[in-house]
Amino acid sequence: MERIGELIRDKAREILSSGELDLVIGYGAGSLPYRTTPVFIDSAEDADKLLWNLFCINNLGTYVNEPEYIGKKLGVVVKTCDARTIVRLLSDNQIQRENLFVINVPCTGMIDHRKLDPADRTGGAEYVKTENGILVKKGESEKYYKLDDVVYDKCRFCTYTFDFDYDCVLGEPVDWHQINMDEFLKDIREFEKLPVSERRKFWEAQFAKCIRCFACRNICTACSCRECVFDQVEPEWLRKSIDTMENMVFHITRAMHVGDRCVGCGECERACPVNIPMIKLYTKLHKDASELFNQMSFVTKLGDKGALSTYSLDDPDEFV
Amino acid sequence: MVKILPKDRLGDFIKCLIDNYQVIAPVRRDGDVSFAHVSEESEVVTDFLNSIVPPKEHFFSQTETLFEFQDSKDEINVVEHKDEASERVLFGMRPCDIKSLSLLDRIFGGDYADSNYLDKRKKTIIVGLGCTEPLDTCFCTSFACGPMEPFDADVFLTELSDRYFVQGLTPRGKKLLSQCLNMWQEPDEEDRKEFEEIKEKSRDKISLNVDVEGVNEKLQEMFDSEYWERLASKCLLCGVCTYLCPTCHCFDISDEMRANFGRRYRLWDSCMFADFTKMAGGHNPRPEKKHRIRQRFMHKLNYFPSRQGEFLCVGCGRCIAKCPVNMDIAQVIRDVRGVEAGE
Repeated sequence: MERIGELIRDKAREILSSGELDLVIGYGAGSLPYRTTPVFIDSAEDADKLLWNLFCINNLGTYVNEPEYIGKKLGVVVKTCDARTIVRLLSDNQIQRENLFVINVPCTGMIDHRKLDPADRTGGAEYVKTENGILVKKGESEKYYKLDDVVYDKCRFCTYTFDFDYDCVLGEPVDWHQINMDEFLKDIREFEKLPVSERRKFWEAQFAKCIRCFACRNICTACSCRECVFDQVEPEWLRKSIDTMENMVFHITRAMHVGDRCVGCGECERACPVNIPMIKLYTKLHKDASELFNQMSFVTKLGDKGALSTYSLDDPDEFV
Repeated sequence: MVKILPKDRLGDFIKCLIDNYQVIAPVRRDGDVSFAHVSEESEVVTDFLNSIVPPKEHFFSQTETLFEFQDSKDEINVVEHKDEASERVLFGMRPCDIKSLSLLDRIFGGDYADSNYLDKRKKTIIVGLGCTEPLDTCFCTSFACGPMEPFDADVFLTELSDRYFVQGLTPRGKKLLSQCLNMWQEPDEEDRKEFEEIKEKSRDKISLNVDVEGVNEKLQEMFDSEYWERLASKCLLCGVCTYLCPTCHCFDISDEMRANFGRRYRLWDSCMFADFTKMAGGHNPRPEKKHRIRQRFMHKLNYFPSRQGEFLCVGCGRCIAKCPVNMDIAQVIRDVRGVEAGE
């Protein structure tokens, strides 16, 4: 892990000092032992701030299409899952390939700190990766966690590999990882068996919790509209008053709008302060897209359009 | 007035509160703790630290009707909206959240007396709950607050090994305790000793400490600092920090109509949002991220303390724990103190 950090710093120094890039977006030390924070490095001297560890969870792809970076040459550190964001944004003509230097770090899962014992999140704790787990070292004591038990759920269902023309790959290559699709979809399949009224009740209770902080939308890499319909005041598509119905209008409209461009990075769920199970909602959309259009949208190839953003003249439905 | 309440009698105490008052207390739903109206003592939990959303929502709700109106043929009739609180108890409030009320009082009870807030505040008896095991993001001691400080609480509970040390701190707090019968024991020397020990230890358990000395004065010179631009890059401009903050109090006012009935209401607003300062003509004096980030920290650490003599932060750590990009106010304070003059 330390060595990968060194490789990232070296690469950033190299490309920033050559003038090849204006900015490198990567991970820096967070304010807590189990957090990292996005850092924006614009000079070789600052490259020391970059690091790599088991808590590099943010999808940094969310920054690359920000208006302030238009015309700039950006380097971005991406985990393999985050590379899907880059492909999505390229396919949607949101960014230009020649302006982007994609630094991939292969990964087998990031740690969800909420799954650690609170005692293992305090200062002085060191986190060491072993083959199938992590060791939390605190002074003399050590505690072992199986990787599957502490990584983010999305990491358990990741293939670890993704075919893309990276500008550089730093760190050891990782083998393709078999996903247990039955386990991945188990929750959704169970949920689908419930009557509509039960399903509705479930989501009403979830959306009732929403405080409309818009963290899910703002962190979403598929949300690339310059002005969001939910921010418009005239006409007011979404009432500003908070109630379950209006919250549902927000979440369901957003889901249908981004569902086919969602790359399954799970950042919406991680950002949600009130723990709305967004991944469940978006996994359902992926499953439907897969069954209806034979397109599991978050395994995009470059140039693919989302299932709802394209049409075929051979479509069996007459209205096309 | 001090009483001792055996832990297995806590339910009786809460039941007594429910029998006599409307009670708002911490409940766990779907794994998450929030403050909600309760009708059964079994709903109430005490094994929590910070609720996700602070209990300020029961004094200053996210959406609050101010008045209603009816659009008749020739005129608009305004209908007064009565939302008067009945006398109620807020059970289980943590010291940081209690302190936040004293800061909000200065806003809503200042030059303009906000009747909606003050009515709820006046009618609420606060039963505080000390924090014996603070979180790693708690830093209340940095802001003249502490895990065992009762502030405006009427009654304050401290958890000892097998019992609660219950302090009646105000006349209505004492009255409340005297309304509940047959559950109290009188404190002895050992109880007082354990209370003092726990009080002392809980302060030591706060691991996040930040020196706020001179931050206000330093910020006075930093309005045009490049620091804000550097800090802002990672911000997503969502409302997590402000909406979960027990001291943030900015609101917007809006109207909504269905057929010819309507209402005017106020709702939480956030300085992180693009339309927060957007004017009718389209001009926005805070067009960029750096302006909004600056506003948030300036308001808490410079504008408010310059006017009111206290920081607008109680160190509850909610924003630190929940920010998806790890924007950390404690780190910002350290940064600000370290920024060179003129930078």
